[in-house]
Amino acid sequence: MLESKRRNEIRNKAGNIIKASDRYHFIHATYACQLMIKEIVSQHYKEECRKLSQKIREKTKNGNEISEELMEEYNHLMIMAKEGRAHIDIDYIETSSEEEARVIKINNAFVINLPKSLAQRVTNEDGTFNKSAVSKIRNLMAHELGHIVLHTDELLKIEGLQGSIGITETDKEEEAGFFANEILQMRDERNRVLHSEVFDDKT
Amino acid sequence: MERKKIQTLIELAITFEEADQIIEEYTGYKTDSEKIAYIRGMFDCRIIGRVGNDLHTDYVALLTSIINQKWR
Repeated sequence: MLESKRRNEIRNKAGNIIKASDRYHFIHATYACQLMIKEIVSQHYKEECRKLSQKIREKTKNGNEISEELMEEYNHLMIMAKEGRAHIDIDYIETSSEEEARVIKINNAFVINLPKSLAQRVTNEDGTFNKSAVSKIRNLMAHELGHIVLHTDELLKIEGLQGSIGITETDKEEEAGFFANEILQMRDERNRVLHSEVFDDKT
Repeated sequence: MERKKIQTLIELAITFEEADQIIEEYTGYKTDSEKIAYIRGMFDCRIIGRVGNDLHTDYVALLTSIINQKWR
């Protein structure tokens, strides 16, 4: 049985997380993107591992040692597989306007940079949401997620991911903008269905 | 100052302002475009998507991502 003091501590921790979560929107889609990228990368490297394993078995089936060349190939594959484990992070930075956002690829991270002033405006003083700030963050997030989903193959160095080679920067922006509109509409529709079917008390 | 030392000091910086001050002090670069070129040559980082065209935001986003990578 939890003591009253411990209940309050837990309640405060939960409250802090909820307050912090108000600054982050579209997190489900962000996490889904991250999982999707990881799945694509791991599928690619599973195939590479299978091929190398087969090669090693063939070259060593008469009791031969694994050659230096094959060990180098193995080490290289392990490094590439590890580097391919990309993840998505979100940072809030000082910007000249609330219409600025960036996605930075650094090592194995995609960092979505959003305006700090927006995060600070998400909730009003009375605790209600600032609709304009929330809408802006969602739009910026959706646009930058579009770049991550659509324009990453050149950076992950894996063929077969969504192509970005040969398309202009203008086209990339148009694609990301279209992606943002589509995903925001889908999300709103899904939330409407979720609330009406799951959360509304019809009894 | 040795390039490696500058790189290390930048990576150890806690805030954007601190890292920016290190770059200005040890390289003499003052403009955003000079600083962007310098850090892109030093770190494996790129802008792959953007909303807006402000060059200073490019620099802030790149340098902030560099100094925050130690927490990822």
